[in-house]
Amino acid sequence: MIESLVRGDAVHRAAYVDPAVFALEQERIFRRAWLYVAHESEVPHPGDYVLARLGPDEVILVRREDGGLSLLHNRCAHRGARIVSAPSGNTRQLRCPYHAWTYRLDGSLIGVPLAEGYADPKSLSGLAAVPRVESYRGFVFASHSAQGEPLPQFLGGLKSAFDNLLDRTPAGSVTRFGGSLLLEYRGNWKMFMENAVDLVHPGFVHKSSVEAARAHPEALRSETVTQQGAQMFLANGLRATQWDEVPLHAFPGGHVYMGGFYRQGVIAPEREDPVFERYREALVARHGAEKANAVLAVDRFNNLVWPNVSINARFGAMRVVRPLAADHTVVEVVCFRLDGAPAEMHELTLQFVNLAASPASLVASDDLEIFERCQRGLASGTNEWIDMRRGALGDQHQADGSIVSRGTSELPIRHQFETWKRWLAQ
Amino acid sequence: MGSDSRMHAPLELWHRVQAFLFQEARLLDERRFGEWLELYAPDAEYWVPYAGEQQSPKDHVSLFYETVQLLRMRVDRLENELAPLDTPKSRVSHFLSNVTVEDGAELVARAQLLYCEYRREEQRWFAGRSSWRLRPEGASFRIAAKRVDLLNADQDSGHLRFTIPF
Amino acid sequence: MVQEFSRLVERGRVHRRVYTDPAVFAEERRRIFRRVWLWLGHESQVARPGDFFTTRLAGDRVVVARHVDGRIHAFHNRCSHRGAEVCLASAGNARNFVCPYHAWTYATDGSLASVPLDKAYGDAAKLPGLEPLARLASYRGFLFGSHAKQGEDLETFLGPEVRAAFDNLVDRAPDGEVEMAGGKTVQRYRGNWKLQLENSIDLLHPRILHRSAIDAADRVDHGGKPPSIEWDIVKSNGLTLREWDGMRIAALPRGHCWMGGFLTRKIDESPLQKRYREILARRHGEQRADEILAFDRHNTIVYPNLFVNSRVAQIRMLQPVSVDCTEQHGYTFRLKGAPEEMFEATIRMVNTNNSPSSIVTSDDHEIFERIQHSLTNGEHEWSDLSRGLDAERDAVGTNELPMRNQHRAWAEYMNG
Repeated sequence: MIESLVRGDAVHRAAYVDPAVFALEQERIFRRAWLYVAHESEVPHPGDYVLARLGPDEVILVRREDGGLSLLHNRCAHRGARIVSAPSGNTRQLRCPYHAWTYRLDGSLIGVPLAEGYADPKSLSGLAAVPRVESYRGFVFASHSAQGEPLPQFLGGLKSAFDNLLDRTPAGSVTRFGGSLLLEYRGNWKMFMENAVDLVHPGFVHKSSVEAARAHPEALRSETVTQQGAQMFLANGLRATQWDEVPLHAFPGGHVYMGGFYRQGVIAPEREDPVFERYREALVARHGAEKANAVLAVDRFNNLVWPNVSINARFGAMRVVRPLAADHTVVEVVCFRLDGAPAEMHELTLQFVNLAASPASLVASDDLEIFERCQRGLASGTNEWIDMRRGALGDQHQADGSIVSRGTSELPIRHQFETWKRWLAQ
Repeated sequence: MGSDSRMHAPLELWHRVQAFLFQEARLLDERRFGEWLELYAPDAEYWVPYAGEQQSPKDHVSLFYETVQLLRMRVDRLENELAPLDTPKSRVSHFLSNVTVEDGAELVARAQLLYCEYRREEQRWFAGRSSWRLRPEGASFRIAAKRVDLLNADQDSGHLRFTIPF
Repeated sequence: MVQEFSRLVERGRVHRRVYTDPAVFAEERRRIFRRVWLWLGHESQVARPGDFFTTRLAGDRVVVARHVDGRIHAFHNRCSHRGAEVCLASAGNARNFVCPYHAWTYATDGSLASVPLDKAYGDAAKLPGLEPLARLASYRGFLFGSHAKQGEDLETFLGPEVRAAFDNLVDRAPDGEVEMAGGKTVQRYRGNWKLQLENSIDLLHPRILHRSAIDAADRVDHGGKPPSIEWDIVKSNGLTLREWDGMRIAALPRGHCWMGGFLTRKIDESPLQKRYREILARRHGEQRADEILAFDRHNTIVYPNLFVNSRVAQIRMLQPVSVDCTEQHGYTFRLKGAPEEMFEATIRMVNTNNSPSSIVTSDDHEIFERIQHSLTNGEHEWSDLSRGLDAERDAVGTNELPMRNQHRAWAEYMNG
């Protein structure tokens, strides 16, 4: 049945609107795949914890005394109460506020009050732990399923995005900072992932912000934030031929990235200002000139980790897509500081995120509006199929299994749905 | 005694009283509970009736009917890390408007209240009328009694639990 | 479907679906709430002929009225013509009920008194009155109703120990009568109704969950004066776990249960209590007065949704709204013949426990919501109720026996 929803170069609208399909996604993808949880820098010391979500479940990521990480279900083994309610903190033990069942940081049960009330207190359960938790260079992923390929294999060709982000740090590490932005829209989660590497829509959807920036050329000459915003809005105004020159890469496993397209000003890959010079020097000190150049030359915009993460290594920003229902999605935007880089670079990251990904963003708000219009439109009419053939003839299959195409191709959508079909069918 | 015959306070007194009321509101909003309690006389009573025209707190249940000592217990608990109720901490905003001051046998202030509480993904609003009996003390005042009549105090479906006082 | 429900309750654990599944909730309404006796109100609410009040019984809107002949009737608040709600007032006194739609008029016993232009009906005499409640009964002035036409009578349903709780509540009134007074509290929480039912007989949690309120009470400086009643109530949650274990609990047939009293201060020495005791002794004699006052129970829980506190003359009733939303309604009673200050004390105790501002029950409600939120997490499907499973005969206070008893009753009702 599922196989019939993806047909060559078209997909059935049920994929976006049907609650039964959504439920199947939750079961076969979000309860099995590697999903991003948090960054190790959020729990640096023993006893540190953060609340997170893994698919439909709320989980607690804890740094144990031995330095390892535990990922536990946030649910007391007694009567099911939520144990941790604060978003983060530090504790030596996890204690349920109802009857004080107390657990170690690895979730095992230390004890319960009046234990003699139980025939066999030793048989009482601890907190349920998520079976697989792995960190790829500080990025913590987890899976509800005990089986499956290890994380590095799962990430496949997309490891390069995380590697490049870390290469771009003078100190060799990143630190999560700056809080979260949360976007909400009444539309399907897959629309966000498709839009992130859709290079035809900006010229139309973001026309209003492009024209606003064009109407104020003085903005380009002003101080950093204003210039940054203006450049970002203008960049969405490339011509179709220019968009085509931005490459798209699809990897086995469903991952995809797009090349970069910012060319000017403070958002350009190479800049001449003093801050960037200081930063470049620090990178050269770490890598040597040749490698530093190579690292900075990796110009990609959005890198998509299947199923639900979009990471921008150049700007240290990540978006995690959380499906709530077939027609309801929340996106969490997360920032990383490049450890060792000048503080002004961190501000650049924050401004990038504010401008591009905040609920107030002139850019993102139009995307969200479009998603909601798609969701409403898909429910109407009798045409069941959504075309995704654009650029199919130009897809170039590589020896290593990846596929490369021109920027305006709908390769990423076709690729993601192929992967989607495979996961749902098993 | 009808509303027309109330004595309206002169401008300067009205201004000082209003500033005092705003101060009380701000202390609650900022969770400066110790300082908030200082505004109350030791024998003061804080009353949020259950029914619209409730005459007395003694023969009818109330949403709040507290001495200063009980208020102290209440805010003490709100600041306790062990209070599951208030984790993460709720945020409130008291809006006061239409302040009137009557300087007759007693000094009485009245205002319209809008109270907004944000807690755990939800925001809820209460509206009503607050009144205070004030005792002048030096350049300022102490609250001898405070009463808040909420529009929906006795709604049929009841209320989810309250956190910071109105 | 029948077997399905019985699988949800095992001896020491309960499936999470009983708390989270809307389909289960819908069946509960049919198989439990529409079969049992549920508390409706008190005779004092309809003291005089023509007095009436409206309420809900398992979701249905109901009118209770005292007719001119002195008898109490209960009927559905629904015009027999086109179904409009006939009586919109929550209480009052009336000679009859007139439907606002077409003026069908009913007497206070529910019978149809008149219909305008009734000649248009072939035989107007055959037109029905308001549909009476299937069964209505009273125990010591407490009115109960049932939607089921058949079943055991009220006294059998309550059983001797629950009846004793009502008896004691009434017997504590020197005049032998109580009246409902002082208004009604309504608390609301976003959790399943059974969570409150369990919590009210859960003696392990007070010292732990209500810790912040207990700490706040400990820090109070009484300035040499006796502590307030409200303080007593809060502080009493702070008994040690061993003291809680020393409380008596009892699990009764049909899912009912009770727990012994636990108010900390012996308030029998207060002047007010002494005055009261004298009045009681003058009425009943010293011995009987002692007997009455010695009966010290805190909560008696009448399954599925009623809490009776004989000591403090108050009753609470759960109204489940949906699988994850519940209202708790609280009522107080004045003991006729007792000093009025005792009623004031009751009011203050009720404010402390039953108001939405309560610093005690707020943490209970918070926990219910946390449970409702987290039960669906993960693969494990059970909620553990095994404390004291092997020690039910001499159950200590913290034994989860009464909760297991409630779920056993649940399973019996749900199995039809």
